Amino acid sequence: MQPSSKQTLIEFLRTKSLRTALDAPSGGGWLLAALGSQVALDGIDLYANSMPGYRQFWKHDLDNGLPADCGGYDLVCCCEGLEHVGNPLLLLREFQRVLKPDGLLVVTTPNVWYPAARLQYLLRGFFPSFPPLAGRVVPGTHMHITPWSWPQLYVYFKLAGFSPPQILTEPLSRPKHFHERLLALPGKIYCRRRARKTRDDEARQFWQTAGSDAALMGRHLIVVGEKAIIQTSAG
Amino acid sequence: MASGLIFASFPFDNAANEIIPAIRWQRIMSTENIYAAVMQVAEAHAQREPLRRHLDVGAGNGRLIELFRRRFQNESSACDYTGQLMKLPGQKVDIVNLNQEKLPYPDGVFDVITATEVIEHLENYRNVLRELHRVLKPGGLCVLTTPNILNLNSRLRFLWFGYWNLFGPLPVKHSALYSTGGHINPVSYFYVAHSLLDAGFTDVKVRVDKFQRSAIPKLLFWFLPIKFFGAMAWRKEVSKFKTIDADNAPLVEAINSVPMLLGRTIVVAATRSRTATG
Repeated sequence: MQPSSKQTLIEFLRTKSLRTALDAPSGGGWLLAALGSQVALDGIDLYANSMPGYRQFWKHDLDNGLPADCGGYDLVCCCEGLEHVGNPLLLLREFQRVLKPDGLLVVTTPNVWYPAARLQYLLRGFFPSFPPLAGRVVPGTHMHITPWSWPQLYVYFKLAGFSPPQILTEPLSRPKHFHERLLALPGKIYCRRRARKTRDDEARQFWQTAGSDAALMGRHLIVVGEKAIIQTSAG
Repeated sequence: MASGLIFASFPFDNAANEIIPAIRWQRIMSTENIYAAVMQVAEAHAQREPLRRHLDVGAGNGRLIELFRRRFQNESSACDYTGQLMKLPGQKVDIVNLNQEKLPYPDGVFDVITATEVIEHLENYRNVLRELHRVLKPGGLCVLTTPNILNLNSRLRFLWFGYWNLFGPLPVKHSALYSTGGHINPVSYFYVAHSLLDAGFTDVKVRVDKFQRSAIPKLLFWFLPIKFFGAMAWRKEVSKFKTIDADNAPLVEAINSVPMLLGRTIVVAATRSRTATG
């Protein structure tokens, strides 16, 4: 995760009233350092048994959901984790489960919708930062296996029981080169047309966001959803 | 780790007619092409191993079961999220929600398992593949099909609009999980192969059900750029990032092959190793 993305996320989180949060996966623990001691932060990671500073810490594989004994959070941050799991919807549902009503989920992940990524997919069949996993085709290894774009995240957030999510705009949300604007033009026009044609407010909001620079040209996505107040049924 | 590729036979060769005499090819439905390709893969496997017990996951109306029975005179089990689609008289359907439940069968009982156009609907296809591996006999065959998001039409649609063919845009107010609107899980061949190997399968092979004629003129334009940039990227991956080795080189190579650039649906076959555990 780039420093500018971290900065954007922290500035957003400072505007929220947070008492308890879950950092999954914790990685190097940058969120703990950035949030300070005002938030009671729990952590989960596959590669560490414990990390100093976290209130509670679990060594746990997020592909199996979350530990049964965690819960009651105002915020769950999943920074650079969702692209590693094979069962993202299970994980998102688990995040929904451990959040308090109105709790927030923040997901950050590489964006495969930006023009250079699309061009690379056309020419290579792979997205940037999704390498061919050489020597990794053994059980239990964790690589980037699930690419994400704004619409895919949107649908999964909704399926997992979150309200329509939003993208946080950050410095990486802008195109680096002019030709990226040209490449993104058909997609932008398409999204605008869909937004103009729809009569549904939610769909309009979706297409407007889909046509934004952050969704179409950002290298990186920071997506925030609120736990929806819904009747939860199985599945 | 054994992995390889077959593109030996073309989708509309005579063998398909021989295998499926019931199909007159007068009105070729899209699924019939897929079934024909699946039957060809099964036929090749049947030369080496008897296909006595067949499981069709996502059996639908039972058409593939019917084809298997006619050709191999085998015993077939069907499982699906509903039994209401089944049209074969007397065919029992085991109702399973693959997103939440395990397959209701003991370990190692089936000689062949088919799952046509299923994994794109699943939340956790990797777990389902582990289940398929569990219920397959050692030496048994697993055949999966899913829309090919690596064909040129899909790549170009993704370039311009951000969506692959047959994948979206999904309805914002999501309801029909099991229709085309339920295609929530686009998986390219590389990741299908990776997840099969991850589940313990070996000898992963791929073919396509048919070539998309509309992609052929596009291929004439894009073939050289794809080959050129693909070769550059390959060199970089091998020498700089060291991400391509003997294990995955055939899989990576298949990504930009002509059948992959033209094929509509990928038909991926893998076998359960006789020596593997689990």
